Amino acid sequence: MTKKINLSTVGNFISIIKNQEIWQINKLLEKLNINYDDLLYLLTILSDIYSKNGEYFFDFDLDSENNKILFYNSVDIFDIETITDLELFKLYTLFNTIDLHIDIDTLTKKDINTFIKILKSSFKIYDLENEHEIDNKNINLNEITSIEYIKLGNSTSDFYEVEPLLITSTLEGSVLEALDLNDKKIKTFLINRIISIGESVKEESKKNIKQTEIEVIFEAKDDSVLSKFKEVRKQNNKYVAKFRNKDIAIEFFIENFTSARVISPDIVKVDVIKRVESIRELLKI
Amino acid sequence: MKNVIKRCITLLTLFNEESSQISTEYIKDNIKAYRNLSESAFKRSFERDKVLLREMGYNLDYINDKWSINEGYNLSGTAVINEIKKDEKIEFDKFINTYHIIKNYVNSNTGTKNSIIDISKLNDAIKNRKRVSFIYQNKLRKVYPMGIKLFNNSWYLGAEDNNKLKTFSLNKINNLKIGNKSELHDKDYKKIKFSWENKDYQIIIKLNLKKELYLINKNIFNHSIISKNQKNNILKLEISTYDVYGLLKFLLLTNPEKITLNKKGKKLLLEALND
Repeated sequence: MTKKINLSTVGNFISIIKNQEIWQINKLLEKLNINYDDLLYLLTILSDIYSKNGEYFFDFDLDSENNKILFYNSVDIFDIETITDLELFKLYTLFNTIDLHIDIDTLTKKDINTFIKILKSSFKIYDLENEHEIDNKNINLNEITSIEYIKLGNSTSDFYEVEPLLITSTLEGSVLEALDLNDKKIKTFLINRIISIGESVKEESKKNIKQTEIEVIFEAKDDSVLSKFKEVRKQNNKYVAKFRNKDIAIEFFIENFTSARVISPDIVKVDVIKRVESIRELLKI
Repeated sequence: MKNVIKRCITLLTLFNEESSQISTEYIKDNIKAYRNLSESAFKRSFERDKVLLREMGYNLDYINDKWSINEGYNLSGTAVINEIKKDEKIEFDKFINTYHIIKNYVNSNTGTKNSIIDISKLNDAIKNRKRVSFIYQNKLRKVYPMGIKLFNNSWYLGAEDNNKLKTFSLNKINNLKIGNKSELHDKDYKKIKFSWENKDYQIIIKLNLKKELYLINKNIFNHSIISKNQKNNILKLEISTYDVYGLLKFLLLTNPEKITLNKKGKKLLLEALND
């Protein structure tokens, strides 16, 4: 299996196949974004579910020779609503944070705009008006472009030639997964740190800096800071967290200065204190 | 995992067949994978399945209203899509098709913040004017939720607590429970002043900084721009904000060389820095 099959994948599968009885296998795989083995796995799971009366919920005919699959739309399983408010709200949050212009071959701009409009009116009933500026990022998925990006912990930008592949939401915010055409690697870019898209690439600006992981011991003045970590461990009354490099750690503790205090190492602590003192100096009355 | 998925799907279909309050015994008797389990093993499996379904957005809640004869589990969490389905002005098939295509390009399954898992319950409570209770900073709160607002990538709840309008970070809300009774109030707040919008804390500040630094950090705090000038790569900004902590965070991250603001503003920022 190339993809982790979870409850959400099964829900997505049910939601898609209930719209049509006969499918071309390759088209179905494309729509589900899975491979043939994943499909067989999903079919095995679902064909093993029985109703309370002991009847099959799900029945199908797989005709690999003719690239066809037929689903017998038994009422029970296709009546389950698999698109939850939470799933729609996650998309709504994403569209509310970034003004994404997703360019997808199989969808028109009008389709996407109508979709966003429906989501907005579904949640707008109680969503109070936002005054902050929405980031306007014109990301055309699957279309080669260049992006100007400031890495976490840095204050200067680098240019990348990329093929944008996927938008993901993480604890740090919305992320663009894209293929770096020069490094031939899939990289992740925090969308709010992308400065511009489609500008010319400045060859000289990109440097490869060796990343050295760093462990930081800190005190939490406010426990909510702990929710910002994927992994954090308690050590006596303090906490220990790992960061990709020292610059990222410094930026994190500068940003969260009011809720966390660095204990060690000095390499992080000194820079955080220096920054705080320079702001204190500016605020002198 | 395969068995867990099977159990969860069977649970969903069972609730789909019965739809109203279902007792624990009925669930155990009618789901093959639960039937032969001991009482404690059943409870463990059922609780685990409930958590998994909750992460997907389904709420399996035990309804035990003292005024009602029936009690048992109810399944909720799909009210929004059902409303969209009912709306004749919406081309539902097209909506679903767009949803599935976008889902292939937008992966929203990772890093779901705990805060929005309860969105379905809050949605119900706000729309139907119900009361909710939750634990917030170790204290039990019983409030009437009025609206939510997105700020710096986090959602906040505006709610009436003892006749006062207060704001709560959804990240810090735990053990959210929703009341059964609807239409408990007739209040309608068109505009809720959130804590970062309190006029007593207005600060007007002038600062010069690199354009890039402004762009990547501007959404950290709620502010409006009074004036903006750009020379080469340097932005000269005059900003108004009520968000003292947000502005402090912004200054710490962007480290401007020079700032200009009045004594009151400096005092507020220093207080936040020393907090």
